[in-house]
Amino acid sequence: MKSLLVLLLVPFFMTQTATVEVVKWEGLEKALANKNGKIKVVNFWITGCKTCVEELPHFEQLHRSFGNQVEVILVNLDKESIEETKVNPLLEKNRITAKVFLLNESDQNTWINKVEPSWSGAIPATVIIDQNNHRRLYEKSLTYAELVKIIHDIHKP
Amino acid sequence: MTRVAIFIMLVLVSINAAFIIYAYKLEDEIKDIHLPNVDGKMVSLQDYPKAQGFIIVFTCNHCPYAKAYEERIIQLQEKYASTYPVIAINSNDGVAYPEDNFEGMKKRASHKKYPFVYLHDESQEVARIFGATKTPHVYLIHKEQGKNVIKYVGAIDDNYADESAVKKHYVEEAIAALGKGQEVTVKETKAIGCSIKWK
Repeated sequence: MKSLLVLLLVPFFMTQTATVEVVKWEGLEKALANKNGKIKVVNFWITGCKTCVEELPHFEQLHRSFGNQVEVILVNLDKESIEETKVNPLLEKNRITAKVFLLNESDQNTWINKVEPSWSGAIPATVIIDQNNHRRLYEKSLTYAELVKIIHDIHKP
Repeated sequence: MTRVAIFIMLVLVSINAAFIIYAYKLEDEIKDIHLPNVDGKMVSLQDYPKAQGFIIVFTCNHCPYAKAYEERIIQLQEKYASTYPVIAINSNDGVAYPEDNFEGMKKRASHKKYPFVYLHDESQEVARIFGATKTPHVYLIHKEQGKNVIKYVGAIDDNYADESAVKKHYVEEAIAALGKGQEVTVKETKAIGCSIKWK
């Protein structure tokens, strides 16, 4: 009976919207360095950036379809003060279940180069980290098809 | 023979011209700028013979980061109008982002009573020559023996979200160093900004 209940609840939890984890740079750095054998797709966004918000569903779709080989990490750069009013409603609206961090670091000059030295700081931006910690920067919007192609290219021998 | 040589030279020159990738670097001398201001007049750097340099800032109307810095750009102009005047430039595609078209710029400038010139880089050529990628994106220029030289590139300060918590005023510190004839200590910084909306 108990296990049946668990089974019934699993799909319910799986579709729950992501809860935002507020981190400092050290917290994000740890997540980016986590060796779990998955390709990391790290997207930087804010709620006030139209093109960033438009591409969020592509990352969510990637997370749902390739979750076994790809770890999607959505890094929100909004002020922590608008987490409840702006960030969470937007995640709910887009049914985001992928991992979401809110990077609470006001001095951006201290961490942009640590993510990827070739990044100018412009968003939308996505950094894709393969299993060998090789980083590819995309300082532009990405479609779902583009994301899938990048993942396939990484898998090619 | 000479004709062949001239032909080869011309081909080489045209290939070169087609492949030049613009993007100024620190200490580069910049070319003059000729762009229309929101008041309808053309503006050139030569219009400021007494200035010691310029605060050139790529910005726009719609971007949250540009909005966050709008007041601070006004303050920079109020402080440095006679020495390092602000030259604000909007290079965004006004078709994809109607808020950033020339009419939108005029509205914003008059609504906020911009004390600085706000120039429209409709062809986006100026942004490309500078290598600007986002808004806001600052290039601090210093006049040296009649040349306009880039001395600092990056952010206005180290805290976009909260002006009262700023610890490093990058642009002002660079201007102070130049005023004393000293080397700028922090020459380049990075900050998050909205990508320039290319056509």
